[in-house]
Amino acid sequence: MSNARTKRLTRITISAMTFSVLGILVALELAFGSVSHFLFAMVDGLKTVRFDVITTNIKYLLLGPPRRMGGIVLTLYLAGISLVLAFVVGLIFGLMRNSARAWIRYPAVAYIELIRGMPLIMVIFWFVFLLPKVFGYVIDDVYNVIIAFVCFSGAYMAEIVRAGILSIGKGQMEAARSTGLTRAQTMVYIILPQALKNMIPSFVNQFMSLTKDTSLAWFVGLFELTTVSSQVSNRVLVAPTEIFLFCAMVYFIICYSLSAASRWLETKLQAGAR
Amino acid sequence: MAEPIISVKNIYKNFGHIRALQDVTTDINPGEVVVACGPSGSGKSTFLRCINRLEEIDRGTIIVDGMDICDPHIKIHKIREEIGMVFQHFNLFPNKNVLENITLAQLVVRKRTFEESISIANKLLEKVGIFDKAAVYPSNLSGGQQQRVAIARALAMQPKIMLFDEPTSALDPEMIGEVLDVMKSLAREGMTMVVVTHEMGFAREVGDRVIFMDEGRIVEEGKPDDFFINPKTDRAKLFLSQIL
Repeated sequence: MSNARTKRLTRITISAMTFSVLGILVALELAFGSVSHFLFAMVDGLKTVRFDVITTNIKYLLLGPPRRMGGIVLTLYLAGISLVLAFVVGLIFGLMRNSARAWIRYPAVAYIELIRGMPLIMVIFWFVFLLPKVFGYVIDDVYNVIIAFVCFSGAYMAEIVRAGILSIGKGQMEAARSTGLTRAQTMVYIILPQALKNMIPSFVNQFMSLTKDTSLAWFVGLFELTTVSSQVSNRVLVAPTEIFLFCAMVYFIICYSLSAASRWLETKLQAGAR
Repeated sequence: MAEPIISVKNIYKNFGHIRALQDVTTDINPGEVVVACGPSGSGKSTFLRCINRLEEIDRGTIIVDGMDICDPHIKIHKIREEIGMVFQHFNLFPNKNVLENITLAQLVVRKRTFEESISIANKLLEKVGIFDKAAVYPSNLSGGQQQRVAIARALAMQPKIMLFDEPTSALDPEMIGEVLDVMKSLAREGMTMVVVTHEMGFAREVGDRVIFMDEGRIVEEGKPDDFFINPKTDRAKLFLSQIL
Protein backbone atom coordinates (compact mmCIF):
# COMPACT_ATOMS: atom_id res chain seq x y z
CA MET A 1 0.00 0.00 0.00
CA SER A 2 2.53 2.57 1.14
CA ASN A 3 4.96 1.13 -1.41
CA ALA A 4 2.55 1.89 -4.25
CA ARG A 5 2.07 5.36 -2.84
CA THR A 6 5.81 6.00 -2.74
CA LYS A 7 6.08 4.88 -6.36
CA ARG A 8 3.29 7.23 -7.44
CA LEU A 9 4.85 10.14 -5.56
CA THR A 10 8.21 9.45 -7.20
CA ARG A 11 6.58 9.40 -10.65
CA ILE A 12 4.80 12.70 -10.01
CA THR A 13 8.00 14.33 -8.75
CA ILE A 14 10.01 13.18 -11.77
CA SER A 15 7.45 14.43 -14.29
CA ALA A 16 7.10 17.74 -12.44
CA MET A 17 10.85 18.23 -12.56
CA THR A 18 11.04 17.29 -16.25
CA PHE A 19 8.29 19.75 -17.16
CA SER A 20 9.83 22.61 -15.22
CA VAL A 21 13.25 22.05 -16.82
CA LEU A 22 11.64 21.94 -20.30
CA GLY A 23 9.68 25.09 -19.42
CA ILE A 24 12.82 26.97 -18.44
CA LEU A 25 14.61 25.86 -21.63
CA VAL A 26 11.68 27.02 -23.81
CA ALA A 27 11.56 30.35 -21.98
CA LEU A 28 15.31 30.89 -22.44
CA GLU A 29 15.04 30.01 -26.14
CA LEU A 30 12.12 32.40 -26.70
CA ALA A 31 13.76 35.24 -24.77
CA PHE A 32 17.39 35.05 -25.94
CA GLY A 33 17.66 32.26 -28.52
CA SER A 34 20.47 30.97 -26.27
CA VAL A 35 19.47 27.31 -26.09
CA SER A 36 19.73 26.58 -29.78
CA HIS A 37 22.96 28.58 -29.90
CA PHE A 38 24.39 26.43 -27.12
CA LEU A 39 23.31 23.21 -28.84
CA PHE A 40 24.94 24.26 -32.15
CA ALA A 41 28.12 25.23 -30.31
CA MET A 42 28.18 21.86 -28.60
CA VAL A 43 27.83 19.97 -31.88
CA ASP A 44 30.57 22.14 -33.36
CA GLY A 45 32.74 21.39 -30.37
CA LEU A 46 32.15 17.67 -30.58
CA LYS A 47 33.35 17.75 -34.19
CA THR A 48 36.72 19.03 -32.99
CA VAL A 49 37.14 16.48 -30.18
CA ARG A 50 40.25 14.47 -30.92
CA PHE A 51 40.42 11.31 -28.95
CA ASP A 52 43.19 10.15 -31.26
CA VAL A 53 45.64 12.02 -28.96
CA ILE A 54 44.91 9.35 -26.40
CA THR A 55 45.52 6.46 -28.77
CA THR A 56 48.72 7.92 -30.17
CA ASN A 57 50.09 8.63 -26.68
CA ILE A 58 48.65 5.58 -24.96
CA LYS A 59 52.03 3.94 -24.44
CA TYR A 60 53.40 7.01 -22.66
CA LEU A 61 50.26 7.42 -20.57
CA LEU A 62 50.41 3.78 -19.61
CA LEU A 63 54.13 3.33 -18.95
CA GLY A 64 55.62 6.80 -18.68
CA PRO A 65 59.16 7.58 -19.86
CA PRO A 66 61.44 4.68 -20.85
CA ARG A 67 63.69 2.82 -18.41
CA ARG A 68 61.68 3.79 -15.34
CA MET A 69 58.24 3.13 -13.97
CA GLY A 70 55.62 5.72 -14.84
CA GLY A 71 52.12 6.51 -16.05
CA ILE A 72 49.14 4.41 -15.04
CA VAL A 73 51.48 1.61 -13.96
CA LEU A 74 53.22 3.88 -11.45
CA THR A 75 49.87 5.16 -10.17
CA LEU A 76 48.72 1.58 -9.57
CA TYR A 77 52.07 0.72 -7.98
CA LEU A 78 51.96 3.72 -5.63
CA ALA A 79 48.36 3.08 -4.68
CA GLY A 80 48.75 -0.70 -4.32
CA ILE A 81 51.91 -0.73 -2.20
CA SER A 82 50.79 2.20 -0.02
CA LEU A 83 47.38 0.64 0.47
CA VAL A 84 48.76 -2.65 1.77
CA LEU A 85 51.41 -1.04 4.00
CA ALA A 86 48.99 1.61 5.30
CA PHE A 87 46.61 -1.17 6.28
CA VAL A 88 49.36 -2.87 8.29
CA VAL A 89 50.45 0.43 9.90
CA GLY A 90 46.82 1.31 10.64
CA LEU A 91 46.18 -2.06 12.25
CA ILE A 92 49.27 -1.81 14.46
CA PHE A 93 48.61 1.77 15.58
CA GLY A 94 44.89 1.18 15.94
CA LEU A 95 45.60 -1.69 18.33
CA MET A 96 48.17 0.40 20.18
CA ARG A 97 45.65 3.23 20.42
CA ASN A 98 43.26 0.82 22.15
CA SER A 99 45.83 -0.54 24.56
CA ALA A 100 45.17 -0.35 28.29
CA ARG A 101 48.83 0.59 28.88
CA ALA A 102 49.54 4.33 28.65
CA TRP A 103 53.11 3.93 27.37
CA ILE A 104 51.81 2.00 24.37
CA ARG A 105 48.75 4.17 23.84
CA TYR A 106 50.29 7.65 23.97
CA PRO A 107 52.84 7.26 21.14
CA ALA A 108 49.97 6.08 18.93
CA VAL A 109 47.81 9.05 19.96
CA ALA A 110 50.69 11.43 19.21
CA TYR A 111 51.31 9.94 15.77
CA ILE A 112 47.64 9.88 14.80
CA GLU A 113 46.89 13.42 15.97
CA LEU A 114 50.05 14.90 14.44
CA ILE A 115 49.53 13.36 11.01
CA ARG A 116 45.80 13.99 10.88
CA GLY A 117 46.45 17.66 11.54
CA MET A 118 48.72 18.01 8.49
CA PRO A 119 47.88 18.34 4.79
CA LEU A 120 49.14 15.37 2.79
CA ILE A 121 51.26 17.59 0.58
CA MET A 122 53.23 18.72 3.66
CA VAL A 123 53.87 15.13 4.65
CA ILE A 124 55.07 14.37 1.13
CA PHE A 125 57.41 17.38 1.23
CA TRP A 126 58.87 16.24 4.56
CA PHE A 127 59.66 12.81 3.30
CA VAL A 128 60.96 13.92 -0.09
CA PHE A 129 62.89 17.07 0.81
CA LEU A 130 63.34 17.45 4.55
CA LEU A 131 64.10 14.04 6.06
CA PRO A 132 66.67 12.91 3.44
CA LYS A 133 68.56 16.20 4.08
CA VAL A 134 68.31 15.94 7.85
CA PHE A 135 69.32 12.30 8.10
CA GLY A 136 71.50 12.27 5.01
CA TYR A 137 70.10 9.32 3.13
CA VAL A 138 69.29 8.97 -0.54
CA ILE A 139 66.52 6.74 -1.83
CA ASP A 140 64.39 6.91 -4.93
CA ASP A 141 61.64 9.53 -4.59
CA VAL A 142 59.10 6.84 -5.43
CA TYR A 143 59.87 5.23 -2.07
CA ASN A 144 59.94 8.56 -0.23
CA VAL A 145 56.47 9.27 -1.57
CA ILE A 146 55.23 5.78 -0.67
CA ILE A 147 56.48 6.26 2.89
CA ALA A 148 54.64 9.58 3.04
CA PHE A 149 51.41 7.96 1.79
CA VAL A 150 51.74 5.11 4.27
CA CYS A 151 52.35 7.48 7.19
CA PHE A 152 49.46 9.68 6.20
CA SER A 153 46.90 7.00 5.43
CA GLY A 154 48.05 4.82 8.31
CA ALA A 155 46.91 7.45 10.81
CA TYR A 156 43.41 7.51 9.35
CA MET A 157 43.28 3.73 9.16
CA ALA A 158 44.34 3.50 12.81
CA GLU A 159 41.25 5.47 13.75
CA ILE A 160 39.10 3.22 11.56
CA VAL A 161 40.56 0.20 13.36
CA ARG A 162 39.92 1.79 16.76
CA ALA A 163 36.32 2.59 15.87
CA GLY A 164 35.85 -0.94 14.52
CA ILE A 165 37.12 -2.50 17.73
CA LEU A 166 34.95 -0.23 19.85
CA SER A 167 31.93 -1.21 17.77
CA ILE A 168 32.17 -4.77 19.12
CA GLY A 169 30.34 -4.96 22.43
CA LYS A 170 32.15 -5.32 25.75
CA GLY A 171 30.31 -8.62 26.28
CA GLN A 172 32.39 -10.36 23.62
CA MET A 173 35.63 -9.51 25.40
CA GLU A 174 34.18 -10.55 28.77
CA ALA A 175 32.79 -13.82 27.44
CA ALA A 176 36.05 -14.77 25.77
CA ARG A 177 38.17 -13.81 28.75
CA SER A 178 35.91 -15.69 31.14
CA THR A 179 36.78 -18.88 29.25
CA GLY A 180 40.45 -18.21 29.95
CA LEU A 181 41.57 -16.52 26.74
CA THR A 182 44.10 -13.72 27.15
CA ARG A 183 43.39 -10.23 25.84
CA ALA A 184 45.59 -10.81 22.81
CA GLN A 185 43.98 -14.15 22.01
CA THR A 186 40.53 -12.59 22.29
CA MET A 187 41.59 -9.86 19.85
CA VAL A 188 42.86 -12.37 17.30
CA TYR A 189 40.08 -14.95 17.50
CA ILE A 190 36.99 -12.95 18.45
CA ILE A 191 37.20 -9.17 18.22
CA LEU A 192 39.25 -8.53 15.06
CA PRO A 193 37.40 -11.00 12.79
CA GLN A 194 34.14 -9.26 13.65
CA ALA A 195 35.58 -5.75 13.72
CA LEU A 196 37.44 -6.02 10.39
CA LYS A 197 34.22 -6.98 8.67
CA ASN A 198 32.54 -3.85 10.03
CA MET A 199 35.52 -1.78 8.93
CA ILE A 200 35.38 -2.75 5.23
CA PRO A 201 33.29 0.23 4.04
CA SER A 202 35.51 2.71 5.89
CA PHE A 203 38.66 1.03 4.63
CA VAL A 204 37.46 1.21 1.04
CA ASN A 205 36.70 4.88 1.57
CA GLN A 206 40.26 5.41 2.70
CA PHE A 207 41.68 3.28 -0.11
CA MET A 208 39.84 5.34 -2.72
CA SER A 209 40.99 8.53 -1.11
CA LEU A 210 44.57 7.27 -1.16
CA THR A 211 44.34 6.21 -4.81
CA LYS A 212 43.28 9.67 -5.87
CA ASP A 213 45.82 11.29 -3.56
CA THR A 214 48.63 9.59 -5.49
CA SER A 215 48.10 12.41 -8.00
CA LEU A 216 49.82 14.70 -5.47
CA ALA A 217 53.08 12.97 -6.39
CA TRP A 218 52.91 15.34 -9.37
CA PHE A 219 54.26 18.07 -7.07
CA VAL A 220 57.53 16.25 -6.51
CA GLY A 221 57.94 15.21 -10.13
CA LEU A 222 57.06 11.52 -10.12
CA PHE A 223 55.91 10.35 -13.53
CA GLU A 224 52.55 9.05 -12.38
CA LEU A 225 49.31 9.40 -14.31
CA THR A 226 48.62 13.07 -13.57
CA THR A 227 52.19 14.11 -14.41
CA VAL A 228 52.37 12.19 -17.69
CA SER A 229 48.90 13.52 -18.63
CA SER A 230 50.02 17.10 -18.17
CA GLN A 231 53.24 16.36 -20.09
CA VAL A 232 51.27 14.97 -23.01
CA SER A 233 48.88 17.92 -22.80
CA ASN A 234 51.79 20.39 -22.85
CA ARG A 235 53.29 18.69 -25.87
CA VAL A 236 50.06 18.37 -27.87
CA LEU A 237 48.76 21.79 -26.71
CA VAL A 238 45.34 21.55 -28.37
CA ALA A 239 43.66 18.72 -26.50
CA PRO A 240 43.71 19.25 -22.69
CA THR A 241 40.03 18.34 -22.33
CA GLU A 242 40.44 14.96 -23.97
CA ILE A 243 43.63 14.12 -22.08
CA PHE A 244 42.40 15.09 -18.65
CA LEU A 245 39.02 13.48 -19.25
CA PHE A 246 40.90 10.29 -19.97
CA CYS A 247 43.00 10.83 -16.84
CA ALA A 248 39.88 11.30 -14.71
CA MET A 249 38.30 8.21 -16.25
CA VAL A 250 41.27 6.06 -15.30
CA TYR A 251 41.08 7.21 -11.66
CA PHE A 252 37.36 6.54 -11.70
CA ILE A 253 37.82 3.02 -13.05
CA ILE A 254 40.42 2.19 -10.38
CA CYS A 255 38.21 3.53 -7.59
CA TYR A 256 35.08 1.91 -8.93
CA SER A 257 36.82 -1.46 -9.08
CA LEU A 258 37.80 -1.05 -5.43
CA SER A 259 34.22 -0.27 -4.54
CA ALA A 260 32.90 -3.22 -6.53
CA ALA A 261 35.46 -5.51 -4.90
CA SER A 262 34.39 -4.36 -1.45
CA ARG A 263 30.72 -4.99 -2.23
CA TRP A 264 31.60 -8.48 -3.41
CA LEU A 265 33.64 -9.11 -0.27
CA GLU A 266 30.85 -7.86 1.98
CA THR A 267 28.22 -10.15 0.43
CA LYS A 268 30.65 -13.04 0.57
CA LEU A 269 31.29 -12.48 4.28
CA GLN A 270 27.61 -11.89 4.92
CA ALA A 271 26.91 -15.44 3.78
CA GLY A 272 28.71 -16.71 6.88
CA ALA A 273 27.63 -15.25 10.18
CA ARG A 274 25.07 -12.67 11.21
CA MET B 1 33.25 -29.37 55.91
CA ALA B 2 35.98 -29.07 53.31
CA GLU B 3 37.95 -25.92 52.60
CA PRO B 4 35.79 -23.30 50.89
CA ILE B 5 36.50 -23.06 47.16
CA ILE B 6 35.58 -19.39 47.07
CA SER B 7 36.42 -17.24 50.07
CA VAL B 8 35.32 -13.62 49.95
CA LYS B 9 36.50 -11.37 52.78
CA ASN B 10 35.42 -7.79 53.42
CA ILE B 11 35.32 -6.67 49.81
CA TYR B 12 34.45 -3.13 48.77
CA LYS B 13 33.78 -1.86 45.29
CA ASN B 14 32.80 1.64 44.16
CA PHE B 15 31.77 2.89 40.75
CA GLY B 16 32.56 6.57 41.11
CA HIS B 17 30.31 7.68 43.95
CA ILE B 18 28.12 4.62 43.79
CA ARG B 19 28.92 2.06 46.42
CA ALA B 20 28.36 -1.22 44.64
CA LEU B 21 29.73 -3.53 47.31
CA GLN B 22 30.29 -2.75 50.98
CA ASP B 23 32.01 -5.16 53.30
CA VAL B 24 30.80 -8.36 51.65
CA THR B 25 32.06 -11.54 53.28
CA THR B 26 31.05 -15.10 52.51
CA ASP B 27 32.50 -18.55 51.92
CA ILE B 28 31.30 -20.96 49.28
CA ASN B 29 32.06 -24.64 49.64
CA PRO B 30 32.74 -27.09 46.83
CA GLY B 31 29.51 -28.47 45.41
CA GLU B 32 27.42 -25.73 46.93
CA VAL B 33 24.74 -23.96 44.92
CA VAL B 34 24.43 -20.38 46.07
CA VAL B 35 21.67 -18.15 44.77
CA ALA B 36 22.20 -14.42 45.04
CA CYS B 37 19.08 -12.32 44.86
CA GLY B 38 17.99 -8.83 45.69
CA PRO B 39 16.54 -5.71 44.11
CA SER B 40 18.23 -4.25 41.04
CA GLY B 41 21.30 -2.22 41.89
CA SER B 42 21.87 -4.25 45.03
CA GLY B 43 25.34 -5.34 43.90
CA LYS B 44 24.62 -8.99 43.24
CA SER B 45 25.92 -8.95 39.64
CA THR B 46 28.97 -6.93 40.70
CA PHE B 47 29.64 -9.49 43.43
CA LEU B 48 29.52 -12.26 40.85
CA ARG B 49 31.74 -10.42 38.39
CA CYS B 50 34.32 -9.77 41.09
CA ILE B 51 34.77 -13.51 41.61
CA ASN B 52 36.49 -13.90 38.21
CA ARG B 53 37.85 -10.35 38.26
CA LEU B 54 35.72 -8.95 35.46
CA GLU B 55 35.46 -6.15 38.02
CA GLU B 56 38.44 -5.24 40.17
CA ILE B 57 37.62 -4.82 43.85
CA ASP B 58 38.83 -1.76 45.75
CA ARG B 59 39.52 -3.48 49.07
CA GLY B 60 39.33 -6.93 50.60
CA THR B 61 40.42 -10.36 49.42
CA ILE B 62 38.93 -13.03 47.24
CA ILE B 63 40.53 -16.47 47.31
CA VAL B 64 39.37 -18.82 44.57
CA ASP B 65 40.59 -22.39 44.60
CA GLY B 66 43.47 -21.45 46.87
CA MET B 67 44.65 -18.49 44.75
CA ASP B 68 44.35 -14.82 45.66
CA ILE B 69 42.78 -13.38 42.50
CA CYS B 70 43.65 -9.79 43.42
CA ASP B 71 47.37 -10.52 43.44
CA PRO B 72 48.69 -8.38 40.55
CA HIS B 73 51.34 -10.99 39.73
CA ILE B 74 48.88 -13.78 39.22
CA LYS B 75 47.89 -14.78 35.70
CA ILE B 76 44.19 -14.12 35.87
CA HIS B 77 43.45 -16.18 32.76
CA LYS B 78 44.80 -19.23 34.59
CA ILE B 79 42.15 -18.78 37.29
CA ARG B 80 39.43 -17.98 34.79
CA GLU B 81 40.02 -21.35 33.15
CA GLU B 82 38.59 -22.88 36.31
CA ILE B 83 35.59 -20.52 36.50
CA GLY B 84 32.89 -20.82 33.87
CA MET B 85 30.61 -17.86 33.38
CA VAL B 86 27.20 -17.49 31.76
CA PHE B 87 25.90 -14.03 30.93
CA GLN B 88 22.47 -12.47 30.77
CA HIS B 89 22.85 -11.70 27.07
CA PHE B 90 24.59 -15.01 26.19
CA ASN B 91 27.53 -13.26 24.48
CA LEU B 92 28.11 -16.07 22.01
CA PHE B 93 30.66 -15.30 19.31
CA PRO B 94 28.55 -14.39 16.25
CA ASN B 95 31.43 -15.01 13.84
CA LYS B 96 31.73 -18.64 14.92
CA ASN B 97 29.23 -21.45 14.69
CA VAL B 98 28.00 -23.39 17.69
CA LEU B 99 30.71 -26.03 17.54
CA GLU B 100 33.47 -23.41 17.12
CA ASN B 101 32.07 -21.42 20.03
CA ILE B 102 32.48 -24.47 22.24
CA THR B 103 35.84 -25.69 20.91
CA LEU B 104 37.72 -22.37 20.70
CA ALA B 105 38.87 -22.09 24.31
CA GLN B 106 39.54 -25.82 24.48
CA LEU B 107 41.91 -25.54 21.53
CA VAL B 108 43.54 -22.23 22.43
CA VAL B 109 43.62 -22.37 26.22
CA ARG B 110 43.51 -26.05 27.15
CA LYS B 111 45.57 -27.03 24.09
CA ARG B 112 43.42 -30.05 23.42
CA THR B 113 43.56 -31.78 20.06
CA PHE B 114 40.94 -30.97 17.48
CA GLU B 115 39.30 -34.41 17.72
CA GLU B 116 39.23 -34.36 21.50
CA SER B 117 37.65 -30.91 21.73
CA ILE B 118 35.04 -31.82 19.14
CA SER B 119 34.06 -34.96 20.98
CA ILE B 120 33.78 -33.00 24.24
CA ALA B 121 31.72 -30.32 22.48
CA ASN B 122 29.38 -32.92 21.02
CA LYS B 123 28.87 -34.57 24.40
CA LEU B 124 28.03 -31.21 25.95
CA LEU B 125 25.65 -30.31 23.14
CA GLU B 126 23.87 -33.57 23.75
CA LYS B 127 23.73 -32.80 27.44
CA VAL B 128 22.15 -29.37 26.87
CA GLY B 129 19.81 -30.90 24.30
CA ILE B 130 20.82 -29.23 21.03
CA PHE B 131 23.00 -31.86 19.42
CA ASP B 132 21.60 -31.10 15.95
CA LYS B 133 22.64 -27.42 15.96
CA ALA B 134 26.42 -27.86 15.93
CA ALA B 135 26.95 -26.21 12.53
CA VAL B 136 24.46 -23.37 13.05
CA TYR B 137 25.49 -19.77 13.73
CA PRO B 138 24.23 -18.19 16.98
CA SER B 139 22.04 -15.66 15.16
CA ASN B 140 19.91 -18.55 13.88
CA LEU B 141 19.18 -19.92 17.34
CA SER B 142 16.44 -18.97 19.77
CA GLY B 143 17.40 -17.22 23.01
CA GLY B 144 17.00 -20.39 25.03
CA GLN B 145 19.16 -22.35 22.62
CA GLN B 146 21.81 -19.63 22.65
CA GLN B 147 21.94 -19.66 26.42
CA ARG B 148 22.30 -23.44 26.44
CA VAL B 149 25.19 -23.16 23.99
CA ALA B 150 26.72 -20.56 26.29
CA ILE B 151 26.47 -23.00 29.18
CA ALA B 152 28.07 -25.71 27.06
CA ARG B 153 30.84 -23.27 26.08
CA ALA B 154 31.61 -22.61 29.73
CA LEU B 155 31.42 -26.29 30.68
CA ALA B 156 33.80 -27.28 27.90
CA MET B 157 36.67 -25.92 29.99
CA GLN B 158 35.65 -28.36 32.72
CA PRO B 159 35.59 -25.60 35.31
CA LYS B 160 35.39 -26.16 39.04
CA ILE B 161 32.98 -23.29 39.51
CA MET B 162 30.15 -21.94 37.38
CA LEU B 163 28.91 -18.37 37.66
CA PHE B 164 25.49 -17.46 36.26
CA ASP B 165 24.66 -13.78 35.83
CA GLU B 166 20.87 -13.57 35.43
CA PRO B 167 20.90 -16.37 32.85
CA THR B 168 17.15 -16.31 32.22
CA SER B 169 16.38 -12.58 32.45
CA ALA B 170 16.74 -11.94 28.72
CA LEU B 171 14.69 -14.95 27.67
CA ASP B 172 11.10 -15.25 26.53
CA PRO B 173 9.04 -16.92 29.28
CA GLU B 174 8.56 -20.20 27.39
CA MET B 175 12.33 -20.63 27.04
CA ILE B 176 13.23 -20.14 30.68
CA GLY B 177 12.35 -23.74 31.56
CA GLU B 178 14.80 -25.33 29.14
CA VAL B 179 17.71 -23.30 30.51
CA LEU B 180 16.75 -23.92 34.14
CA ASP B 181 16.52 -27.64 33.45
CA VAL B 182 20.12 -27.67 32.25
CA MET B 183 21.20 -25.71 35.32
CA LYS B 184 19.29 -28.03 37.65
CA SER B 185 20.92 -31.13 36.23
CA LEU B 186 24.28 -29.40 36.58
CA ALA B 187 23.56 -28.65 40.24
CA ARG B 188 22.60 -32.27 40.89
CA GLU B 189 25.91 -33.41 39.41
CA GLY B 190 27.66 -31.53 42.19
CA MET B 191 28.93 -28.44 40.35
CA THR B 192 29.78 -25.47 42.53
CA MET B 193 27.46 -22.74 41.32
CA VAL B 194 26.86 -19.10 42.11
CA VAL B 195 23.66 -17.95 40.47
CA VAL B 196 22.27 -14.45 40.31
CA THR B 197 18.61 -14.93 39.46
CA HIS B 198 15.06 -14.01 40.29
CA GLU B 199 13.86 -17.56 39.63
CA MET B 200 12.71 -18.43 43.13
CA GLY B 201 11.47 -21.86 42.05
CA PHE B 202 14.98 -22.71 40.94
CA ALA B 203 16.46 -21.42 44.18
CA ARG B 204 14.12 -23.54 46.30
CA GLU B 205 14.57 -26.65 44.23
CA VAL B 206 18.35 -26.88 43.94
CA GLY B 207 19.78 -24.00 45.96
CA ASP B 208 21.75 -24.82 49.09
CA ARG B 209 21.89 -21.25 50.28
CA VAL B 210 20.33 -17.92 49.38
CA ILE B 211 22.24 -14.69 49.72
CA PHE B 212 19.95 -11.69 49.84
CA MET B 213 21.70 -8.43 49.00
CA ASP B 214 20.64 -4.82 49.21
CA GLU B 215 22.64 -1.62 48.70
CA GLY B 216 25.88 -3.52 48.30
CA ARG B 217 25.60 -5.52 51.51
CA ILE B 218 24.57 -9.06 52.31
CA VAL B 219 21.42 -8.44 54.33
CA GLU B 220 20.42 -11.99 54.96
CA GLU B 221 21.58 -15.48 54.07
CA GLY B 222 20.22 -18.88 54.82
CA LYS B 223 18.63 -22.05 53.49
CA PRO B 224 16.15 -21.33 50.69
CA ASP B 225 13.17 -22.76 52.55
CA ASP B 226 13.90 -20.66 55.62
CA PHE B 227 14.53 -17.57 53.57
CA PHE B 228 11.42 -17.81 51.43
CA ILE B 229 9.04 -18.87 54.19
CA ASN B 230 10.44 -17.00 57.18
CA PRO B 231 12.58 -14.07 56.09
CA LYS B 232 14.15 -12.49 59.12
CA THR B 233 14.69 -8.93 57.93
CA ASP B 234 12.06 -6.42 56.89
CA ARG B 235 13.98 -5.64 53.70
CA ALA B 236 13.80 -9.29 52.62
CA LYS B 237 10.09 -9.49 53.53
CA LEU B 238 9.39 -6.44 51.39
CA PHE B 239 11.42 -7.81 48.47
CA LEU B 240 9.70 -11.20 48.61
CA SER B 241 6.28 -9.61 48.82
CA GLN B 242 7.09 -7.67 45.66
CA ILE B 243 8.31 -10.56 43.54
CA LEU B 244 6.11 -13.44 44.66
